[in-house]
Amino acid sequence: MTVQDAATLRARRQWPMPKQAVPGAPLLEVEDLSVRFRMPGGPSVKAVDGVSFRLEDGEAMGLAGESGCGKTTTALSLVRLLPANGRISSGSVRLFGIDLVPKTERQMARYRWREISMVFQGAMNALNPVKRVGDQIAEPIEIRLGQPRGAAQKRAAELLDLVGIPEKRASAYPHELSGGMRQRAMIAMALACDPALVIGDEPTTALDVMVQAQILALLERLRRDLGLSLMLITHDLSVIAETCDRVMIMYAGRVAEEGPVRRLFSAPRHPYTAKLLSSFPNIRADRRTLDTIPGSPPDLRKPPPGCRFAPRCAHAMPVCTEEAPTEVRFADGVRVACHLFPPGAQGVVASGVAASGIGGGLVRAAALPSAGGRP
Amino acid sequence: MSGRYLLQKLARAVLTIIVIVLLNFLLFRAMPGSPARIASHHPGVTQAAIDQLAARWGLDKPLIPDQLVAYVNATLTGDFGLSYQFRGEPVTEVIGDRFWPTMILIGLGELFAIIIGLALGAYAGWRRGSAVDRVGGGISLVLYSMPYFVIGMPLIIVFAAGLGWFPTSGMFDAGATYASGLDQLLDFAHHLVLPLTTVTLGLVGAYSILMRSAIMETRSEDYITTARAKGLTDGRVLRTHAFPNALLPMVTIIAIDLGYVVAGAITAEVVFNWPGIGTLTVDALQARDYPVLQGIFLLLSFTVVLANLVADLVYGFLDPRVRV
Amino acid sequence: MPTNVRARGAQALAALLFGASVLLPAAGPAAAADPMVLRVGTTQDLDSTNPYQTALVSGYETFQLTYNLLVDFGPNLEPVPGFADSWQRSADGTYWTFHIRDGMKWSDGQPATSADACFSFQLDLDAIKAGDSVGLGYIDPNVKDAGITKVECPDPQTMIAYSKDPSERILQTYVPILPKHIYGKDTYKTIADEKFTPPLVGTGPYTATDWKQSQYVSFTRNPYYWGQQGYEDQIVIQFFKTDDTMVQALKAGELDYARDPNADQLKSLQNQPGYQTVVGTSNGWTQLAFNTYGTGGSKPLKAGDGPSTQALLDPAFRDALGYAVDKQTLIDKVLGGFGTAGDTVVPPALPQWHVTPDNPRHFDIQLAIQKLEAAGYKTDANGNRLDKQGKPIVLRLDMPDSDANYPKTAQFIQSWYGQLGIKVVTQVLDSATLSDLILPSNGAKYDIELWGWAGNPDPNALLQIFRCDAIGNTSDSQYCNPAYDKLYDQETAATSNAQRHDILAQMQNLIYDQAPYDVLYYDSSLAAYRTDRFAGWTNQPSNGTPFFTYSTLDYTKLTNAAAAPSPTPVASEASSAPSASTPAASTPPATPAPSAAPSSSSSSSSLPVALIALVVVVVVVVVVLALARRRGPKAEDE
Repeated sequence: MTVQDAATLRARRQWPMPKQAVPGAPLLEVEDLSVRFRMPGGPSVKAVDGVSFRLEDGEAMGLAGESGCGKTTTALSLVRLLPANGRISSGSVRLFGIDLVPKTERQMARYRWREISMVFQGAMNALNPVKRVGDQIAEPIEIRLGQPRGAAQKRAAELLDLVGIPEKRASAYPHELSGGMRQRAMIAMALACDPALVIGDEPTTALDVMVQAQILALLERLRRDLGLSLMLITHDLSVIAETCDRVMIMYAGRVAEEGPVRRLFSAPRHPYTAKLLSSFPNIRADRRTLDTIPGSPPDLRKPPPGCRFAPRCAHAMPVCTEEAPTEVRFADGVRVACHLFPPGAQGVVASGVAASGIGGGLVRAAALPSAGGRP
Repeated sequence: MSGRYLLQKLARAVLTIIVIVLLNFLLFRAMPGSPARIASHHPGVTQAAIDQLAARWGLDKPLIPDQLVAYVNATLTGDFGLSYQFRGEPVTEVIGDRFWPTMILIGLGELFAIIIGLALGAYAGWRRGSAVDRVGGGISLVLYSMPYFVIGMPLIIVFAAGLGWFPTSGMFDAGATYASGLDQLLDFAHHLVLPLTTVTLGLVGAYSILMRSAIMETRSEDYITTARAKGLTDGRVLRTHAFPNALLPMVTIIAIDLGYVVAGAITAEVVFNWPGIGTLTVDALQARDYPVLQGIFLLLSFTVVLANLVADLVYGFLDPRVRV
Repeated sequence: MPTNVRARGAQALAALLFGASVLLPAAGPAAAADPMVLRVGTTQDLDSTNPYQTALVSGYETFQLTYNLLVDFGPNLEPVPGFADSWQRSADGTYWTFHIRDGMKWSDGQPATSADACFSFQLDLDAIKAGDSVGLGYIDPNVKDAGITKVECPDPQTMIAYSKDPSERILQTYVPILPKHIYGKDTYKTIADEKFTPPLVGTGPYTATDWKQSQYVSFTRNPYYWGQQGYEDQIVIQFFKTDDTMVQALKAGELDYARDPNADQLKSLQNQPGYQTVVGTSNGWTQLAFNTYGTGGSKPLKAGDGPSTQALLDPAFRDALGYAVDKQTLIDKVLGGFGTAGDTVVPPALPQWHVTPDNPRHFDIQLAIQKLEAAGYKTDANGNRLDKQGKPIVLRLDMPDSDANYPKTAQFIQSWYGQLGIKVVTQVLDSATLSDLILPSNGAKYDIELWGWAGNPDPNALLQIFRCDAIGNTSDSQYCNPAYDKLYDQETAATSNAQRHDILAQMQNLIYDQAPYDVLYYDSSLAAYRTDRFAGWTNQPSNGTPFFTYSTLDYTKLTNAAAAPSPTPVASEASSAPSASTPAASTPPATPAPSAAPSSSSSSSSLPVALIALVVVVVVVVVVLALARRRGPKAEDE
């Protein structure tokens, strides 16, 4: 991945930056985001509880965790696409320094698709079945960017070409395309307004391995050629390993661990991360029974006090059930929230997101005890 | 749309009409009561006169094969015979006179009901729980359950008999002569307002309720989330993404309903004294006026089968997933 | 608000239509020099404008306005000049000479002479000679009954009709005189197929000019009419589906006359200023017809067919049942008070022929039970009345669906007979089915038929129902009594009215005592009309209603209500209503001032302005909305 700095990338934009953008601010800075779902006749579900992270221009970040950990909710809340009973209860989401949380629905429209766009999972239903694919791609160009229809159609054709779909398929309906082509079309659509950030929500989950590889290769190419910033939500760590620079592991609505991909996967610090990794079979290793994590995630209507992973953690200590762990930051760019790594010693208390450059170079850390981890 | 697909549908439509037409013949004649005797409930009429009337109407011959063959022949040659009720008037004229009043009243009523009902239902379903939804839904349910009579009579009492803004009944001022075609048209429009309002109100509830649930189902689809993510306005998402999809199940219903327009609406016609096919059917049934009944049902089966056919084709046109 | 353009467009269109129509109350036919139109409403449709094809009173009204009868009916059904202005029976009684009015013209200006009269009568005579009938066969029996064998027209003003019939029935023949110059080429076979499409040519006061099926039939003044014409220039008879709609129209001023409003509607109009209500006797009755098949030795039916019990064939049984019906209660509760208790089969509407029974029955349940017991009909342990075969008596009471009062009446019968221990099972059928059901050829599977008949000015029409040869035709009691038939033939051949009256009295008593029918009541005909535009309303006969009677002369007596006060209309009540709850005498208005009823005709001269204003508003709205939608995409500038 080519290292390009923010200024260059921003200069390459086809459309102007938002007027309220703060010069020098990072692409995306999420601080202490909490999202709550109102349930009928009962306590609300705290699906996301105090999540913070930061994304720089040109970065690709993976968001991983088991089902229900809050990764999709986090992503949706960035563009305020939550269902009717969901709301952001606290925190800030700063895009180019502009806090999106207090924006009204009308004001949010400016940022949707033009700054942040999404590629959804299972593109069969994510594309309107009665409209042609080309029209759907051209729609935001025409409506949001105010381009005349002809120019919009032309650009749509170009985008299809970019993602490897022959132009003449622009007049096809979604059901006439294969799964892989539909996903490519979705990607083309996501790029229509030249966004700063594309969020992919399980974009390859429904595809077979061959197609998945193609899509990932495509994403890779686009990132390289267009300098695209990417946020990839998936439960498949291998996808993240292949495509992303950084990864954030979430559990029960909180961040467990976050940091450069190589660092995290080779030397996971959080017990949950380690367990996740060991759940994946290694094709080169000996046959063994797959490791599973006993138990299930907590009920988010009444989350347990203290660390939410504690009930299932093999390394749980008494303090784990009493106090929520403080997030600490390591020199190699990894953040962890676990009582095994208390503040002080080798870490610095992390307040929000630390200011550092792109997690480019690997930072060697001292070897740390990790349960069942692999060097 | 392949030619074969079209031909298949057409063939099936024609076959259906043939079967219906034969069934109609048998069903009407199976009713007890002879039309000749109906016409003759009058002291002084001799049996000979009744027999003669029956003979004129071909009712003295056996049902099958004579009457059936005569009937099939007549239908094929387009000779639908003379009405028993309106003695001597050709059936085509009797039905023809009522055809366009029915088409205008019920046809326009359906049209307005569809347009207003679909729009209202779409909006209510989209903004579920909003004031429009609650009020609109309540009104729709109430109207849906009100027969034309219950809607129409209050309108007449208030606006016609009471305020005198509109005539109480009829299509034109009876027996009037007009200075110009425009005068006649205006008089007709004047007479049309209350009945048309009644029919529209009576039909709008069903469409509104159906469209509401169709839109509600569509709302939870993924492509709606995509559309919202694209930053399109709520109204635009409803109009260009949700509505065309929600319309698909409605197309079939609408097409069938339009097929039945020609049957008229008996209670509406009775309340407003509108000379339509609904009341003609009832009168013909009571008088056992077989030729008129056969004519009406031929017309009706034709339009319903045609509407079915059109529904198939339109659906294929609207939903690219079912094209052959 | 609905957000799609189509909805908006439709809204705009609807708004335009609505606004336009509100702003133009009755644009069109009403202006200062408009013809005076008399609007008459009826719930009975018109089936044909061909006099030989119509079975309905509306049809008769239509052809009687257009055409003349040879001799018309006067205010009390007495013969008055029609097509003929005078007549005389020959000394030997074998023929009548009719003088056809001088200088009469058809409404198209052609001269009207005896040739037209001979032609019209010849149609029927030809049919009778061939043993056939003309059209529906309603009219030629008149000629046959009058005994006419031949007609001759030696000169344009004279018609001679040969008949040995001693009565004056020839003056009541219902034969419309048709124009020979139009229909002359028709025979009795083809006249029934003639179209008779309006405008028609006739010698009546108003000729039919337009017929919109199931909507209205309209008439205009005959410019050549020989007699007095009414104030109205045009008459429109409008057909309604329900009496509610019709009465609404009357109240809104869209009708001048409503025929047959129901009892409630009539009562609501009874004491209202500006309206006059009429309760007239009608020439007919509602009856319980007992299935007496088998009396007089008719061919036996299959087992299971015919009456369910032999008791129905016993006059004593039928007579006893007659004491179990409280006719006044029926009138009060079912008819709303409008009707007369029934007894003999010649209605009091024909006062010169009607007699009251020598041995009248009255309502007395105990007496009925006594008579039943005395006749040999005992009850069993459970109170069921048994017939002489020991079977409990269960009577099937069938009625048509054509009258809303029948089921109510049936309920009363059920409860009264029930007190006698006789179970009654009721059934409502549609007219066609019921007509079929009672035929012996279909098994005559009924016991009591609740229906009614309406007659014509000659009592024979209703009396022939009881003849043996009416079985399988008009008979609904399957009664056969050779003695009755003999009397019938005698009275038909009677040489004087007095003689005829005597025989008719015998016949009426015979039927009353034998009781194949229980005549429940003589129906009333109801009518209501406005008094703000027309005056001079007269009933015909005087105890009847103004319109839809035997003659249309009453149409010619109408005058302008706004003119000098006209002679007050005859008070109109059922004449023989013993202690009936007053169908309140509608007091004639003191002054015929136009009432305060809302008028429906005032064209608006501000119509064009209003329309233009509306169109401008609509255009502005549509343009604004269209512009508003364009604005969308450009508003993203943040």
